[in-house]
Amino acid sequence: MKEIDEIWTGADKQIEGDVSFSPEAILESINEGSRSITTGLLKPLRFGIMVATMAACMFVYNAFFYGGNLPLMLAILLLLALTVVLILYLWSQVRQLRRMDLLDLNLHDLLIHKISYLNSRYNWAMHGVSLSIVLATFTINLTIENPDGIFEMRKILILSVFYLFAYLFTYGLIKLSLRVVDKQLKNALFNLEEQTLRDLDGELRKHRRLNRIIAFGFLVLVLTGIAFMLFTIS
Amino acid sequence: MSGEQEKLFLERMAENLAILHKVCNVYCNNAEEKQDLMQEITLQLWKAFPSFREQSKFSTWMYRIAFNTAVTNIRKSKRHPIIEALSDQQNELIEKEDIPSLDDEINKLYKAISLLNEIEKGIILLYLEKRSYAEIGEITGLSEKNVSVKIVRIKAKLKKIMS
Repeated sequence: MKEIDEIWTGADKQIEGDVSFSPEAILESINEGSRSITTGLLKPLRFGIMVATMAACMFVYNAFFYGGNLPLMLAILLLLALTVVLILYLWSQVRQLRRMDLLDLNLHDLLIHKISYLNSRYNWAMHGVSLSIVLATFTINLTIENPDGIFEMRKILILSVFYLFAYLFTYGLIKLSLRVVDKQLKNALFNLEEQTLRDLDGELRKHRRLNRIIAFGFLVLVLTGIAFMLFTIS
Repeated sequence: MSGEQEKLFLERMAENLAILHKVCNVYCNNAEEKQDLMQEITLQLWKAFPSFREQSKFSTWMYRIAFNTAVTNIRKSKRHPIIEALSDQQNELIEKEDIPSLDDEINKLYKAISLLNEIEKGIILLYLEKRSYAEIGEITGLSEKNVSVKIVRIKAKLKKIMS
């Protein structure tokens, strides 16, 4: 049986003869754009930016609408500021993701960088996208429920549960879609170097625990704030 | 990218197109997948070209971008499980299509390589392309010693699959 090196030498000659990729074809394939994982990861972020921008516009509209109700207007301005920060954060992550493929790293370092990014900053961005849904829902509620410039809401508990559900559902959905990518990257890293994966796993476990605690605290804070505001006003 | 840079990029690509074909042949099971991966790698090379500083050979840089893209970016196709060896019956189930321009022996080798995991595919291709262990280490981030150990194991695995 021939050695694989020997067989390959033959392949080399045949492939040299097979190469047909003109400059035009190269430029055409560049213009067709990317269908990579990165492009897939950008979609939820872009969606979050769109929803948060819509929420920000609605908050501006509501700030004028509730001009005569000072406490509520202040609360709206506060939420507007939060929404703007959210848009800026999501936008910064879009830029970061776009730059990631251009990093001049070897495969090992690139895998570590991507896995670490997906489990830290991108994870935060997913919380941001979920929060944008809650903010958009709340501002729509502000607009349609209150024709007289007085905000009144009766079933606060049900509403809070609804917001919580919307938040968790959105987060869960994006997280689920991300799981496959995360697993594939980790598998590749595992195949490249087992020891590194163990180190990284420990690091990621710490990240995840901290992320969960901070996200839960933040969510409780936002929901308590909204509920408190609703109680005070009504 | 300026007009001059674009011209230089196209020239360099034309000189090294075989690399693109080989990487895609190793990572893809059919013409459609190959087309997708070629397009994605070309796009990544195009985007990264302005930052190429001639610190390494163009071909090494090209391999690095190509492998990074193949391993971390494209995930449309169905993947094979990692297997140690194949029986004749299992061998018939390999989904990789023959490449019409290549003879049977080379297609058989490509099929065997298609059963390796993503990392092994890259390393064996670099080895077959007569890249030094140092260069393979530069592309993958492994030490030269690790590279040599992996190559011995992959070759043994391929021999077992093909026998």
